[in-house]
Amino acid sequence: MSVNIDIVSSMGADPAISAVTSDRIFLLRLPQGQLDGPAISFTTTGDIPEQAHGMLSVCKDVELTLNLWSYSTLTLESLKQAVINFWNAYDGALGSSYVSNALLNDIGYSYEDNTKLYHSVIQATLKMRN
Amino acid sequence: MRAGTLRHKVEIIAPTSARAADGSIENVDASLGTFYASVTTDSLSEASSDDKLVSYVGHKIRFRYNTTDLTSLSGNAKILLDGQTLHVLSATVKDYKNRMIEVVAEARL
Repeated sequence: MSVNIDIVSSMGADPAISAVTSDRIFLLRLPQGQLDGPAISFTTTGDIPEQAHGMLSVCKDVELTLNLWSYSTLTLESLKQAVINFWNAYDGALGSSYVSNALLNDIGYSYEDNTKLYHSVIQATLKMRN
Repeated sequence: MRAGTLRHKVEIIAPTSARAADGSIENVDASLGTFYASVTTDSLSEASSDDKLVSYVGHKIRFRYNTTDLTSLSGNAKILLDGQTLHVLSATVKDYKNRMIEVVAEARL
């Protein structure tokens, strides 16, 4: 199972995040056209289990980059706090996998003049095992 | 052989997007319906683009519809006509009756 599916389903099921984004969590890019509210686009790398000494290790570090988008800084801040609260000290199942820890890094804010949206980036290193 | 004014069969398609389980956005062309229409060519022009000559052929398409068949025709819709894809430039409801619509569309060859 793709870790992207687990991320979408788990974050979408979080009440604090879905209260702000509803189902607007997308892989790689935002959809074209009118957004009905704040949204998240994300990318992942490192979704490959390590293999060592002939034994299959399922440990992997997934680098997750979350781009948070909103029309206002106020709702962007609410979304950011919800996302941080969700991932901070995460220790539990993530779909079919298990995340034993998430290391968060706040990259900062910006304003995107092309889209007229406020933008915040959070990077997370997910320590995953089965 | 088909006779009469509305003797061409055209299919209208419009892009829609949906979110897949992994959050990716999938764009697909959805059919809005197939209609009998009157098609006439309207204008011809050419332009060079990246060392290629592109022909633009304007078409005027009139077709009958009712509001249960077709609720809206967006600017990003396309019309399939005899293997050609025409890009919709404008759409006008004739006589304010919601029965006949006239579309100006362009083939880019």
